[in-house]
Amino acid sequence: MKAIARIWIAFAALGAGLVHLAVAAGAPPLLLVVFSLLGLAELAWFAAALRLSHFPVRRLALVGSLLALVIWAAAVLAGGGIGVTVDNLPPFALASASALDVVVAVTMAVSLRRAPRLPGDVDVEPRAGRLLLGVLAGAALMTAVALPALGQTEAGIAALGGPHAHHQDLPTGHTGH
Amino acid sequence: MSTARGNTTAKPALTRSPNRLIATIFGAVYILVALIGFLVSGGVGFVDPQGALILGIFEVNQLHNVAHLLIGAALLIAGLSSVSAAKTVNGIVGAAYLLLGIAGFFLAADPESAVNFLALNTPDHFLHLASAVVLLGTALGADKSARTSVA
Repeated sequence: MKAIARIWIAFAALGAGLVHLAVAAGAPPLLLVVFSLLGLAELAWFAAALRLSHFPVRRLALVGSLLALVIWAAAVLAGGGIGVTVDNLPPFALASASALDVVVAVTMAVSLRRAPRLPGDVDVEPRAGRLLLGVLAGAALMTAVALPALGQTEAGIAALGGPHAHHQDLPTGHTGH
Repeated sequence: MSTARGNTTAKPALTRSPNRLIATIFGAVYILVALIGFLVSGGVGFVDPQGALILGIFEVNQLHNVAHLLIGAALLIAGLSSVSAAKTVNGIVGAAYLLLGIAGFFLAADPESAVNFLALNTPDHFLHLASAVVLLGTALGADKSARTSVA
């Protein structure tokens, strides 16, 4: 059960990372760099948490996941000064990413408070069927939170309204497939 | 399908390995999707950015179908072969899909982009991401004991 919980938390970090990368794609230059770095760090932590069978760099993960909220708040406060608009910094997408980051932060805080990790202390792997159901459920849960958020980013909106959309009227009278 | 009880060889049975299970299931599904794709995209060019729709949602062209067929075959063969093969293929396909999904955000941000040779639309990107999560999560998080064993 502990292993499955760790996989879910890793998926939360992955979801937050994907949303931050999608936000970065449409963000002003400064925030493009910041959100890209944040997203890549979250993806790296996701991979490490699964690979190592324990939560890596828990203190850093706790601070880093809360840092995402601080960056968002700072960007909103800076506003037009750095080219921020509601369109290129979508509140719903960043709120979803923040929710996922808060889940990671709370887990890290609880984990640090409860148990100092000992060398060689790894989670025992459950049986195949149970683990697989855990992975599928975690992936479904993460995508249920992250996908609507991705759709609210400029990249998602551009894709929906781009040349490959099929449910819109085109000026030539072509009605799609 | 072999069972855990009936397997006397060193390699873990299909039902005992999350990587083998997920590779086999995903492999079969991707091959099925490829076959349906070939049926619905008969009049579409090989690398036409404007593809046909599977289930009215997912856009594909012929190259996209070939990619699905190859990925499905690789996953199915690996899943039926061994844990290490399944783990490797799950990891590679998962990472590739994740990169494709992330690249999709940046490509989508420029609707005039002419590099969409796989006729990818938004549902495609989202499905690729969901596949990436499951495949990469299983490859990285499961069958740890098989990491050092010989397949």
